[in-house]
Amino acid sequence: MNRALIAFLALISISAVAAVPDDNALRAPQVRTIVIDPGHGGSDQGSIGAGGLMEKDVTLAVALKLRDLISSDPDLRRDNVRVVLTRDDDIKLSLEDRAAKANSEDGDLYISIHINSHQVRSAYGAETYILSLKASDEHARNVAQVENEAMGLGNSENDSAESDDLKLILFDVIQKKYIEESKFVADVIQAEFHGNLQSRDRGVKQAPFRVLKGVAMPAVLVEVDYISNPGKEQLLRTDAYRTRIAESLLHAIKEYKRIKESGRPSIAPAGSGR
Amino acid sequence: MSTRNMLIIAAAMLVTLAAVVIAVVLTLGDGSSGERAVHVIKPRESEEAEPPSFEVPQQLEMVVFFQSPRRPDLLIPARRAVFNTISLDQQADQLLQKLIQGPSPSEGLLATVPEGTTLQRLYLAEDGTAFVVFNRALVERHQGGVSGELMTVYSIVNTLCVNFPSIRRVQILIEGAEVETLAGHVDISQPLGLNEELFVPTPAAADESEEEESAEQVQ
Repeated sequence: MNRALIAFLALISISAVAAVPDDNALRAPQVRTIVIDPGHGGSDQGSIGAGGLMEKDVTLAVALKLRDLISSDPDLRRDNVRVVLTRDDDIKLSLEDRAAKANSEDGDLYISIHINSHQVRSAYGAETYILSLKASDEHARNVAQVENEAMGLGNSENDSAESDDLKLILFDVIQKKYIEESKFVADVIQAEFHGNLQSRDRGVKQAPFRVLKGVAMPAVLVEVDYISNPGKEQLLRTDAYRTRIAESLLHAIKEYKRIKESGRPSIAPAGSGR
Repeated sequence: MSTRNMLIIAAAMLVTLAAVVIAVVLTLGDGSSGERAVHVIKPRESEEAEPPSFEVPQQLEMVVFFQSPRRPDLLIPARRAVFNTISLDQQADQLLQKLIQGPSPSEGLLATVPEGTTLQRLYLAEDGTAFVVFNRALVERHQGGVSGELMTVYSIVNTLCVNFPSIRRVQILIEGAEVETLAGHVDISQPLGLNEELFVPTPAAADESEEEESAEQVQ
């Protein structure tokens, strides 16, 4: 009698807990599929160092190393963590296709690897970017307004342009849902780079990146270092440095997985995002 | 008859005298009230003493944004004058031409747009969006890299948004068409608004620039 009542109450409280948070809580928070996106590729060489080193080659080499590290890591193997590359060869991929691939593979984390470049040859250090929604929020309002006006006028000529705009807005909304987690991942990656590569921490930044839009999972764009810095270009050529970059990313992935799966109430403190 | 004439003359003189007295009194009164009026008017006169109010300055002081020579993520404003044309489009066009021209050597700053870039057209939509049409050099000669790309995009966007409050967003077009990105990262398929983070130097940013300088010396 008492036991039945307790079981009943327990059932109610479980279903209440399950019903309150968003759909992430319905399934246990698990990080099972990592999507790695080596930036650029094929005819899109990315940035090029003074010595001729191409960004697309470095990003692919680091991604392949990271794939090997993830597949051979005992902890990750035990949990059947899978790694998917958006490209594993020197081919050109559209930014949209990269996001589509990540989504169709049902990824839990998306890391786009890039190498930076700048006229300031002395510049060096790592930056991790997450999507900025400031511009798109305003744009969304603006398009909504145009949309409303167009509906009143019954103007059908702009339909295709508008649906493109709406698609973009949907893309923004998709990533917006994960922005706090993306920020957390970005912070972890920056800390790893700072610690393992002794690279200068240029911080986590936000900008309207095409490559992050439409990605339906926590997503970051990593700018490992500056290929335009001659010293760093030399380092980026070496297998040893590429391995260290991949190791740093592996540590960051494992740290994110650990904290996410420990079920901490909120992965990022309120107000840390935008 | 002569007595009557005399009376008429005397009367006329009286009337004249009265008129003169009244006139004098009125004049005095006018004078004093006029003086008061002058006090009120004087400031207006002094205003008018400045260059005629219909004349507007021939040139307007504005700023364009170039790249910091020390930090890859900082835009620095440089003063530029544009002719005070009636249309905002023309003012904005002139200003972007100054941005394309790049900094003077004495300014010690870096250009944000590649050589060979030309502005083909600029027009303002009623909703506050400026459409700026560049030739292909902006894409094809871009050196790539996220930092450089951010600097290029936001030097254009910020230059327009900071100087023209009526411009709220800027859409960059290449040869009249929308493009996804300039060099593979920053989404310019939609209009972008002011990005203050790239040009407001925080105290931390100032420290970093010194650090960057010393890093340069080390390498």
